[in-house]
Amino acid sequence: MSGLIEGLPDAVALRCLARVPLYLHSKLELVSRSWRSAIRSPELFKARKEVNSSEDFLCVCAFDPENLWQLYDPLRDLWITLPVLPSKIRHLANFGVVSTAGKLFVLGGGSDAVDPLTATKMGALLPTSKIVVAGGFTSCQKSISKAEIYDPEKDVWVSIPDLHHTHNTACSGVVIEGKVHVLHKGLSTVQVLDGVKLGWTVRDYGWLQGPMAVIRGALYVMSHGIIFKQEIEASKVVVSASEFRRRIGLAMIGLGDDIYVIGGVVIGPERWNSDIKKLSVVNVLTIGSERPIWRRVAPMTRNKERFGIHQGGRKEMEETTMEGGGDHNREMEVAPALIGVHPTHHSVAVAVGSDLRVFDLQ
Amino acid sequence: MSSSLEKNMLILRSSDGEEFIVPEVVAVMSKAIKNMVEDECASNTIPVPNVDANILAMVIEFCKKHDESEAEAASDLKTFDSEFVNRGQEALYDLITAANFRDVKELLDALCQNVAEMIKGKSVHHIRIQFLGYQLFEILTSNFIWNIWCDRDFD
Repeated sequence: MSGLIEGLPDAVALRCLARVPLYLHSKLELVSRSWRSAIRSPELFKARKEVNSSEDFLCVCAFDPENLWQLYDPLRDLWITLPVLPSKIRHLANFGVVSTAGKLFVLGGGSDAVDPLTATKMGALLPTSKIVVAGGFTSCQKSISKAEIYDPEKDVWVSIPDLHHTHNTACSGVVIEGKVHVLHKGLSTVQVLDGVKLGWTVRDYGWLQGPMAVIRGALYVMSHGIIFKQEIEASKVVVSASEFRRRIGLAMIGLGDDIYVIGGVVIGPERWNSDIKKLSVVNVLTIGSERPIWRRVAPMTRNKERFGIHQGGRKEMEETTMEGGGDHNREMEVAPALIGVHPTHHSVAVAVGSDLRVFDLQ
Repeated sequence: MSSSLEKNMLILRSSDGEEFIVPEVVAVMSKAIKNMVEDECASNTIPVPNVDANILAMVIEFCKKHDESEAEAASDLKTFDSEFVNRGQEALYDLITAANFRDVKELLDALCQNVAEMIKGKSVHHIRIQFLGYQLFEILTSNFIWNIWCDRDFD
């Protein structure tokens, strides 16, 4: 890239471009070739960090359109569409997803349709910089207990001790107070990763079950139409969430002080009615205020603000938060396995098919 | 500031020979000058090549304001910054060059933010006209496909 702005050194011009918010990047790419390569360069990403103008986004992938990720910009209340995820699997589902270091990692996953050849199912979770993957399902729909840790910087996987037990239900991972917690649907126990070498501890907390979000290190669970703050020994009612009772397959995630409840489907009033309504609504609850109130923000869009001209072009994002499947049109009893990152961040665990590995990052 | 002793004052000489007497605390907001002072290779008079009197006066005004207003409300300073940088493109670029060359971080940040604001509100077409100047011809004629692609303005 050269001569980005006539009359200014490129290094300075880059600092100027770094201060333009990401939702305008698609416009800047059209200005000239040198602007396009500058916008896509790792230098710009670095400069954005240096000048403190990196932004937080919510990354959402809905069932439809397939494999299309969208970014939600909470500051401007708008959606940005990313290039299509280059996956051979149609309607990739049950994947693990994590974001760190400006990148979005989509791990494993399989088809929602029966397709045993491609189904490597697992979940994932992030801490600060490393990714732990644990449990999940093999391509033969068997649940596994292996765990691995991944270092995005060095691009290496290391095995960590196996989970103590596994269960034939969906599992998920959350990071609470710096520790990876693995939960299986229908089990009252939680497995906590104490250390890459120490492995997992089983705790019978009897936590509530349902969609979960972590806000400032605290866990919130939606259960029986109510949002609870789930502490180790007790759960406290935060606010009613009765309007979501009839919604299936919604996604819940925390970003900043807000809990986002995204999408899902509502099935018609009659039980056998095939009237399935896919929702693109996004509800937000701000935690921390005296009386938290639900509000609605911009619903998911499809093709507005298209991001990047060439499909498949990789785009670095700023710190993104992650989210898994939105509008799935059936309850997800099947799949995801899980993982988390190691509390000391020295390692990450991952499950690959029937293989489980952990990466020692030290 | 008036209590500053003579020895805490520095003289900055612009490229066109004009001299400015500036308190040291203000002058060292420029990292380049700070380094010179710390290395004690600065005599009383510090030449500031490449920066003319006009621009140097502006830079000093900015640094003084920032030095004085440390205790002041941040919002006041922000207002000052945005008014300060709101200039014609030529003065803006001269200031950026000076701030970059003399390494005055606060000023450079404020100026770059201003350029970003200018970019934000413009269409692709206007960005090209304003920021690419002579390159424009080259861009528009470089090849046919590129031309078609270029026509896809967003607004």
